[in-house]
Amino acid sequence: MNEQMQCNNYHNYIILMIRVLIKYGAAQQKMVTFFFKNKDNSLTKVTGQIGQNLLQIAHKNEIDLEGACEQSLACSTCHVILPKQLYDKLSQPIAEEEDLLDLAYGLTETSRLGCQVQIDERFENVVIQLPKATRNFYVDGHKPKPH
Amino acid sequence: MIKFGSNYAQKIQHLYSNKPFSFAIIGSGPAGLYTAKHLFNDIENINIHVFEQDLCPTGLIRYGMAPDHQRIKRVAEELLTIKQYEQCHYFGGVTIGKDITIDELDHMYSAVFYAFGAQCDKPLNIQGEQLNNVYSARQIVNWYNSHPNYYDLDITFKNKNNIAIIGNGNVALDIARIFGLNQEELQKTDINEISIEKLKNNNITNIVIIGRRGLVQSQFSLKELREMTKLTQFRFLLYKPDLIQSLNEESQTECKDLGINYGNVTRGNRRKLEFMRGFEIIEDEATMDAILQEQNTNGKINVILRFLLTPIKIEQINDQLHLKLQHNQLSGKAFNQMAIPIEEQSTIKCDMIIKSVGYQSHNIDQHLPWNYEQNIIDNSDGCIKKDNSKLKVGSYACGWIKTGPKGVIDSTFGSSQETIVNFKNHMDADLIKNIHDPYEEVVNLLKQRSINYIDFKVWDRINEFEIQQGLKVKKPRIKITKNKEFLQFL
Repeated sequence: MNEQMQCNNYHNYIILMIRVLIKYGAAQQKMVTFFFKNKDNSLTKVTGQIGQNLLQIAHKNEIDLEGACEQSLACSTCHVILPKQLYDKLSQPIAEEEDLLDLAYGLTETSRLGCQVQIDERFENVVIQLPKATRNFYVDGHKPKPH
Repeated sequence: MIKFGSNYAQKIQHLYSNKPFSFAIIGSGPAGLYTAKHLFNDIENINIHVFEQDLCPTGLIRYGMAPDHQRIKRVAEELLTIKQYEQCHYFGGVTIGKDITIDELDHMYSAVFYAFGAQCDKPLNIQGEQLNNVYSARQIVNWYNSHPNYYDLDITFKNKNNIAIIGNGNVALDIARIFGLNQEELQKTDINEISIEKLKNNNITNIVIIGRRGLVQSQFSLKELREMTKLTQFRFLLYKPDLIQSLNEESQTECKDLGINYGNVTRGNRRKLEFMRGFEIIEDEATMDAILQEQNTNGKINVILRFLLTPIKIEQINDQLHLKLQHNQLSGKAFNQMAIPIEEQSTIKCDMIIKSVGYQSHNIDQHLPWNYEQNIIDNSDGCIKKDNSKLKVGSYACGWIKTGPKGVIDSTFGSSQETIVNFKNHMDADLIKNIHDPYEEVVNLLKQRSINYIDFKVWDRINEFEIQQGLKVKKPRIKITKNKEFLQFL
């Protein structure tokens, strides 16, 4: 009986230690968990370290985000759409990023380039949307119509 | 490989596992390789053969993108990760429509994806287009990118002070920029030594870039413009009379914030216009003439952006080319404004003319349905049409051959993605037949027809060789220029 209790105590102690270590480790690495909404509307849960950018986290988690120019601000293939609330909280994109967003496929008012957005605590549980393949492909002669 | 978290991919695996499908992709540029990569990502148990007319893969990444944009060229490595799949084969140097017909492809494959882009230049159809020192953008771009058919283009920059570029898209800016790079900047590119020798120390003083419509309708992107303004040798100039004509009420509407339904259109216009307001302005004709006659600009190159001009004739008078221009005004509603000729005409005297009014596709096989109006494959969102009411199920179009030669790599990826989505709908509806890998059949066919081709293994050796040669002289690579030399790697 006593032995078993001791054993249980020992067991609990180990578990407690592991928990403390995990918590301490997590605090050290400052991980944030959020979601990517894929092109087919499915959600992928991802975890990233504070300071990593969205493209790095997407690639690590096999999210279908291209990132053709290796983060050199030369293309807009890592275009993502942020929730408005989050978009408004982040600092404004630099002019070079805006230039590329002008060319992005399926631009929205809360579009950003994944390679230029570094995550922090504010990204906890948010959903980052990948742009969809739309039928409204802009080509020369395209005439946009207002509603 | 199936991506978890993607319900769509799982569905396809569920429906089709153990039944092989075989796909042909025609063209190995961004559209073709992107399509291959995503078909492998989304569907299990497939074979893909990529056919390419050039020996080397990656199309415009290798032969079209500017040689000083090496970072973006690295997208090739990412797209070529399809090499890892045993079921992926590359046939470089095979011309579809000539070496293999599309009827043969239809029999051998479950589905064919056409992604052969735009191989030609749009002609100007004006007198004098064939004169010496008049080049097409395609010739120039392929020349400085060492394409086997153009690396030895007959071009010299001796006594070439003034260059006129007709057309104002990103290609026009690329050409102007490359022509103006200094020796140090040129050495960082993969332009071959013979071409660098010609480009460096040229004495270009003025580059006049001419657009048919107004400033707001200009085709180049702010990204390219901003990049070029950061190079200190370029001085950008606008011409006041052009601006007054350009910025009519309709054009200003095209720059207004009209909400998201206008997508990137007005946003891009607005930001570009704001940026160009910072350029120097040439007040009148006399000042313009004086600038065009300047000889010594201390290494500075004037880039003069002109608008509302249509070329009507090129004449050779003494040692100079005289480019006759018809003046235009804008007419029509916002977003649909046309250039309408007015009475006024003028002439620009220059030493070289580059026609950069856009690329154009041409059909490769008479059995491929063709839209003659737009010079693209006749298609509906990437599904090739048999006639007005029926689709040619099993045949798809991706990239420029689907949309026309417009847009940057991102739009090519986006439009190819749309095609893949529509194709997967056909798979779901069980419209695509199962076919085992026709690799042996294709190899035998090419052997019978004595066609030499390079595969991914040979390409890897060529690529490695070019990069190694480049390392020795601190360049990204030294490109092989002759087809004969490529074939020595076989």
